[in-house]
Amino acid sequence: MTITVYSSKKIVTMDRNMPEATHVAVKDGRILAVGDATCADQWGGGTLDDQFANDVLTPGFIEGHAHLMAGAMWNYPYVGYHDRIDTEGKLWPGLLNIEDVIRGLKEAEARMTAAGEPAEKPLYAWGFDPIFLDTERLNRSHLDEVSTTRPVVVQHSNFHLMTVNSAALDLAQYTRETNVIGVAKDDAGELNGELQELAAMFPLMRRIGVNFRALSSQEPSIRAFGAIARQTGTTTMTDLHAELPDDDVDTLVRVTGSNDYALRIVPMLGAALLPPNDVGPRALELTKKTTDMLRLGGVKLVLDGSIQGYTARLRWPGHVNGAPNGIWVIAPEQAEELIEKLHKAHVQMHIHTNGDEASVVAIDAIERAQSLHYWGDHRHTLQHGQMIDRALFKRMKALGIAVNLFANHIWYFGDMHVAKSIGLDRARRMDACRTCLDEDVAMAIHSDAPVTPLAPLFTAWCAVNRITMSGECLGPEQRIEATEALEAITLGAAYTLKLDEDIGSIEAGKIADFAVMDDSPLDVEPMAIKDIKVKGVVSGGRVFLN
Amino acid sequence: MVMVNDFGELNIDAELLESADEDTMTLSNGCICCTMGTELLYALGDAIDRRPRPDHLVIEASGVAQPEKIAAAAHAEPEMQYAGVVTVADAANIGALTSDPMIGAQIAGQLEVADLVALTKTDLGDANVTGLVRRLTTAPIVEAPMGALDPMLVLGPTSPQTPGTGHSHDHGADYAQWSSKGGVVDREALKAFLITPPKGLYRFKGVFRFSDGTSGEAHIVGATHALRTTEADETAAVAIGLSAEFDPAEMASIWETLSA
Repeated sequence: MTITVYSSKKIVTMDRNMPEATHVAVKDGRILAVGDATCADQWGGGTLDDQFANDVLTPGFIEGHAHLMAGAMWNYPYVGYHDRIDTEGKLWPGLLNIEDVIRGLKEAEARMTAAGEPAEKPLYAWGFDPIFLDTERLNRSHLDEVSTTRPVVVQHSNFHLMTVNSAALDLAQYTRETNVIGVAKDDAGELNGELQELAAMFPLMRRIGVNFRALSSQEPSIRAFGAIARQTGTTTMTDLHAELPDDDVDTLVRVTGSNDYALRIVPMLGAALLPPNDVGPRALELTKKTTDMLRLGGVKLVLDGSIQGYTARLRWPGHVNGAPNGIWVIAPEQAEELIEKLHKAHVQMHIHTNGDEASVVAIDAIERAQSLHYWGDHRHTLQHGQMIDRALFKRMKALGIAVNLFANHIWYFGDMHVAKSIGLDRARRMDACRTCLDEDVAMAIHSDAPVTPLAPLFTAWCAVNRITMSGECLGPEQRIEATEALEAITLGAAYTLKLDEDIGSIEAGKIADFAVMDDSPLDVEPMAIKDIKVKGVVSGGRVFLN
Repeated sequence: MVMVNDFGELNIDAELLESADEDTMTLSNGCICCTMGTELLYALGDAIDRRPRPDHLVIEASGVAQPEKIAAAAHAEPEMQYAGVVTVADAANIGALTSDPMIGAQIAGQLEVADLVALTKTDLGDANVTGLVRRLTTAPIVEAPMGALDPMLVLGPTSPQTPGTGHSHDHGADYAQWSSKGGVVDREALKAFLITPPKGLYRFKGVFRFSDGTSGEAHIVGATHALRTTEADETAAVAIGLSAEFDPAEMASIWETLSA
């Protein structure tokens, strides 16, 4: 195979032996040598490629907590407040008021009509954010302006609410007489078009045929997932709660293995999707199907809910607004049994723990499992771990537990946590990256896409600046340096996925995965990290530009 | 059809149920970002879409499930008729479970939202266990030795067939039954009845010819009721309640007042 030597304005390697370089030589999809223009000379030299001469290269970004559904969403029009780029690279400008939203929906409706879609075909849109709309609440009459024949369904960004038009209410057979919790009515007792929580949405979702479970495992969604990854410089991404029947695995192997696909996917088997005794054996069976571009074998467990939904399990003193403690998705005793079982079988676990009480349960369970069945390098990882404090990080360090902190949460939900859920003092130490690194716990940071948009540079920006939507810096003591944040979205995330021998830094021997951008996150002002323009990726030596 | 929404030790049940195979689905309560329970709802949709469609759907929820959320889907879906939440409480352990600092609140919540509580292992339990459960729920409490529970209480009475007005005390059974056929009913009086049914009535179902010429069907399960417009040729209704609490004779006299 030929040797290609890429020149670059600057290569940020994340290799401590040579933090910066100007050239990287690639052979057979792997990094042959790093250094200056002569780096490949000892190997007989290579062909110089200057296409990145004015760009910065970093290791390809690694998103350690995302869901394939993030790709499936782009099957439908976006009507959110923030600008988003779709999988085709098209900008969907943020819609700042109800008039804009209606206009956007009318355009989507017109596209459906122009495409010859039947007049009763549903229009589903997503991403609507009611929090920022300072006007009248979206209701059915707004959406009746969009269509009187098509069911029009606007999913709110938090997925717990939707607003629908009259045709959609008719389809679900909801009437004035309907007496169902979550089917909202106005003061006059008429349906206002708002459906709250999944049960109330369910009859409609079923009838309009929107099924993200089915969509997520199909090739178009996997391709869309790959496209949003490429746009953001991401070369490896998890699907952190997957069902993984053989058919889905075959599709994933085929799509990720195709030469025009840039993204390495790391699906984690959702433990709750199988009977407990089958989880470990199935995970081990899946490892046999691992390819370079599809890494299998990990398992995801979910212990509690979310802090913003008041369903996370918190230690005393709980919620400042008096909301009761959250809920267990798995009872702690059963979680303990399953964790022991999987640990004994040497299956790596990624454990969702938002509240600190849930984190304690997970740490206790791993400690118990480790004392019964020693496993030196398990790298079980707490996912979110948003309320972990110094004392818990110390325990995690002692037990070899890694963490993937939800840095994006500070921007999106920080103000809400100060005002309503846990108050200023505990919100200041949410997603405590500084303490985590000081205690030498292996750390990644994440977006949880589609819960917040995928964009590792934005995630790094959040960890470096800790700015909330109101512009406040929430917990300045927990800010980390740009180089630490860049490590968290590359080598740090690779470690949590047990892939750091292959990816996460630019050094000889590793897979040639790079993010291509116009400036270095280590050189720009910290507040400008999120604005660096990503041009594309190199994946296994193959160039994919946006 | 039985669906097992299962985690942990309860999975033994799924294995037991495998004999029924085709009519058993094992579910999960997993959700990617919170606890919306999407898997369960997809499975409910799958069950409704089966042909032939199952007559009854029994969902065995997980040990820390929030049954009211599952119930909400049954209330919302027009092609399903809500038939109640039965919370099975192990008399030997319920005291410890409801006072558990971790899961106590969730377990107590399962009793609170129950339409019927079935106490098992009463021979092993503390004599005060009924009192303890009574403080946590307003639902009728029945003993279910060896887990045996009259299907009538879970699935409801079959469509009313008994001609005329009648009532029965089936000695040895947990419940007493009343039924009626024929006549015309006043819609507003029926609505009032649904809101404040007689003491001890646990389930009620019927189809009605109304005095205004319309027709409809109504259901009561525990504290919830539903009334909707449907076609009906003839009025027919049936009610059951626990023998100790429900008096069919009283029901019969109340029924008289509904007739138009």
